[in-house]
Amino acid sequence: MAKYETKIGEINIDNDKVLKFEFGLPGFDDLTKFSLITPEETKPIMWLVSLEDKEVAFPVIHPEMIRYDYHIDVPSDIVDYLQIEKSDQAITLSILSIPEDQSKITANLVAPIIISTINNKGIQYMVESEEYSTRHYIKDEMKRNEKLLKDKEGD
Amino acid sequence: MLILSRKIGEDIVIKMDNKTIKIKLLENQMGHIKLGFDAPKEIKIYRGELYEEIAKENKSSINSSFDLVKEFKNAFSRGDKD
Repeated sequence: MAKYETKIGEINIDNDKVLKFEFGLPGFDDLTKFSLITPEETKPIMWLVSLEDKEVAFPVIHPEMIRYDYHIDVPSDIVDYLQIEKSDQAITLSILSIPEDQSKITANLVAPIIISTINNKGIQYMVESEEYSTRHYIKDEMKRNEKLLKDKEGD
Repeated sequence: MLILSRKIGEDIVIKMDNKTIKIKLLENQMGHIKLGFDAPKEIKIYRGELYEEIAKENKSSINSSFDLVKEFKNAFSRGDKD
């Protein structure tokens, strides 16, 4: 068990539970040790916190909460790297940007975080997709979800 | 910066330790150049602007304060209850 100072407070974590981002994240290429924290106060938003730089923490959420039909294909070399055999062995998360103006809150759906529950390795994967971008406005996506769900009920 | 001039169908080979990356110039049409890459799977190839865009978004994300997130989480709970 080791103690870490993070942006959202001090945390205690077993060394074998530390998430290893061996390739870093774009913009933070040197940071490799992270943890995923779910504080009660911000649920369902979780935090991917750096254990090496206490200024760095990303608010993240399951992308299905932004687009309930969210779907990506993960290439085989990444599946091998994460040692995942079934989709429920991986956690997929979208990074949120939350400025003071709530109408400008965005989610990055083109570069999700994928974490393996098997080997605790993580990556930020860049999806080759025309459908997704780095900045989806949450307010627009919520409207889209509502409409899709309503259409579905109508069937 | 090393600058090389290439014709359609010609390629460039980059060798690093035991890894080889081959980049082939496939097409040049109206200012759009199409490149083909041959590289080991562990070498990740990205469009430069996408990588930079993601780095920019990541940097903007870390400015999200805990208090703002606490306020905003309610936007997601509505849909849950239905």
